[in-house]
Amino acid sequence: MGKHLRHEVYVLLRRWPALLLILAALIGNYWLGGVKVAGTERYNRRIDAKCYWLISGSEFQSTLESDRYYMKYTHRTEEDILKRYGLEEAEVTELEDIFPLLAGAQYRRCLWFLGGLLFLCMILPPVLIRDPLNSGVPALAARLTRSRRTPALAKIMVYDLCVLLISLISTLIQIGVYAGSIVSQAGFAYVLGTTLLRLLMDLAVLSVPLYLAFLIRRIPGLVAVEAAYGVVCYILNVAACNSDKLLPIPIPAYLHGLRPLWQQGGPAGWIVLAAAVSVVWIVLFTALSLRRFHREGEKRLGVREAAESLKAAN
Amino acid sequence: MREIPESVVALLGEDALKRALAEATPGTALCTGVDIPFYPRLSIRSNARALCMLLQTEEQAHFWELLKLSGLRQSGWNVRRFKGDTGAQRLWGIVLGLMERPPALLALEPMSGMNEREREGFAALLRRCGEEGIPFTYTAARLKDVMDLGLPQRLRLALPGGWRETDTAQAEEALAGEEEKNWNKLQLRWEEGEDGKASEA
Repeated sequence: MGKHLRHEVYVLLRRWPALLLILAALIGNYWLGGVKVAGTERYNRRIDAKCYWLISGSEFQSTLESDRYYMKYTHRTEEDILKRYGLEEAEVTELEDIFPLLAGAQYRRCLWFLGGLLFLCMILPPVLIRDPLNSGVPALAARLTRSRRTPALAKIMVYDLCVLLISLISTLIQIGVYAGSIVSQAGFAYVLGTTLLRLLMDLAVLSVPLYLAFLIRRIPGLVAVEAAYGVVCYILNVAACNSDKLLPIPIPAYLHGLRPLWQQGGPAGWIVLAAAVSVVWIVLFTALSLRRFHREGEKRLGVREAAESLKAAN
Repeated sequence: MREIPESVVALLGEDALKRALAEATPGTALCTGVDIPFYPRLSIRSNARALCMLLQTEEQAHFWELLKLSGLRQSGWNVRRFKGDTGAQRLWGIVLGLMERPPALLALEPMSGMNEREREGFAALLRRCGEEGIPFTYTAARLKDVMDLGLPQRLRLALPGGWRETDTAQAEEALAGEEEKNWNKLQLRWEEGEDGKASEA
């Protein structure tokens, strides 16, 4: 296994276009996951002035009123805003002082939203799995090392590692930018637990694209199917954030969007269910991918097959 | 007179490919011009190093030696890529085929797309197979290509009814004075009753 992992890492580091695409996936994941969060400064062309985005359509509905944004140069004052959001008792002198008060809600927004998934779905599986598989080297590696599954397993491990790193880095940046005070407010254990759960669930959501990459040989077709899967996940994720009910079939993308899951002192049953479902999905799709690789390796063109195909062509 | 290695055979003629595939023994490794395993976006050197990581120590030495013989391991190989380089791809395919140490190896049109330098590398690999007695059979479109390798080899010409065997020295003799050295002319000479012996394969 060690030499297969070394081989995979070496090949990945030598392919700089692939590394650039992975970096793009990281930036896309961060950018799409972090928009519309309270405190984001925006330029408003209508009034020709800067304004602050105070709420995120779905996350703040339960705790705040659904005011879309606060314009700094309109009739509203900081007191109006505080009164509107029930923060009269807070010691606030500047508008920016309100944002740390919303850190909990912002933190949950960073966790449940799967906005950057589309980028990861479309980029990672073709770059890390299908492109190398099409080169034929993994099949050769399987023959050389007389191990039918290890090359694919090493590839899957590198893919999982990339997903975890991208997810971790983009989540940490989002938390740092939008909810920097969450650790002091809610405690390190809560932040660590929820971040680990998010990583596990991200891996589960991205285990389906992994299997699709083993299944579909043509890269344009694969990208199209992965994009469709990303859109379905996005719809499920957004649908879940306005719902407090579980689906009859546990799907990680839907569970990911359930907001109570990310609250401090959230339902323990849901957390266990989400973790268990994620592990089952990861194991299931990894096993299916290995099986697929095994079957693909058996289709190697030999002398007999070449003779038969030549006969059929004539 | 130079010794003709028994294990290296060049197949010529229209039906050579079809017959060779039909008659090949089970376990024969096939080197075609397609489905050659390599990373197209990596240099030849990186491809070799990546593959080397998967091999045992003694296999690594054998692999590097074959690469050196083939001429792929030369200056500039750290920037040269396989993508679009048919000759280098075919040489790489043959090196991989030999590295796996199959009981016999059948290469289909290995010299197509190769330049002069790559053909020299191919000839060096054939020479090694001849010395070590590794059965290496390959098809060639033109007799001239085989003759130009400068390597004494056994030739098998696919004729209606069976194979006709000869070798490069006899073919050279039979075609002495001919400007174009192709297998059709050789066949014509045979039909006229000159050199060569017929044998049913």
